[in-house]
Amino acid sequence: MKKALEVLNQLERDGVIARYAIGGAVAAIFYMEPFATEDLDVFVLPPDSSRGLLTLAPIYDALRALGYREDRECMDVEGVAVQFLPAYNALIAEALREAAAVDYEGAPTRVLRAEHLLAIMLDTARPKDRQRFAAFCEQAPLDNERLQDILKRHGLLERWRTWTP
Amino acid sequence: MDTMSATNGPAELQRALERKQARRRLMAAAPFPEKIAVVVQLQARFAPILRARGQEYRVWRLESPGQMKREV
Repeated sequence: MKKALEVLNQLERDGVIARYAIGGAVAAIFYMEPFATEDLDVFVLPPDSSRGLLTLAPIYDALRALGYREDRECMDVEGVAVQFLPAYNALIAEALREAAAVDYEGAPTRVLRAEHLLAIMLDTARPKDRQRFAAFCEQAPLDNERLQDILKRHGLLERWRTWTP
Repeated sequence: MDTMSATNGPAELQRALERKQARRRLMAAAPFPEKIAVVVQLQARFAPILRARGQEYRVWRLESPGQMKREV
């Protein structure tokens, strides 16, 4: 994991990605009890995103040049199945900008904040998001003021009310 | 083995739920690398079951703290 994060940091230093942060299940696990997941979801802001391009091709090319290989929808980076996801909407772009700096055994990295993760669960609303939602609300340290602000700005308050008892 | 009676059942159930919650809080507060190690243990448990059903399933392998290798 540490080595995989160091590779991501190298991609950022080399300008292949403008910014990255861990999202998805592994980010949720940062805040709650661990559960099974296969992939490390990494949200990225590609350097070309200011021109409206959200292609992941340069990331894949750079990793291939370093000797890493695709594994289904992921790249196998130092033994970790990494799935790159572009910041495809305003909520995720904001979550990526405001991600928390975290140290993983000496490797600096970023993890999406708990309030943004919860908002993304509400926005994505897949069955597994719904399943994870209640446990996350119970276990994750949530700043309610920050959460309400995010939900309001991204039009998710109604779904929040529907999902919370 | 103790069995729950009609009278003490709810209290025992309550204690069991509290113990579960306490364990979850403990796990939630564990350091990130320790949680990742648990994820890999879970992957290793699920993989044979899912592979027996014909599903592909990735397992990371911790060679040392902070270093994982994929299971071949």
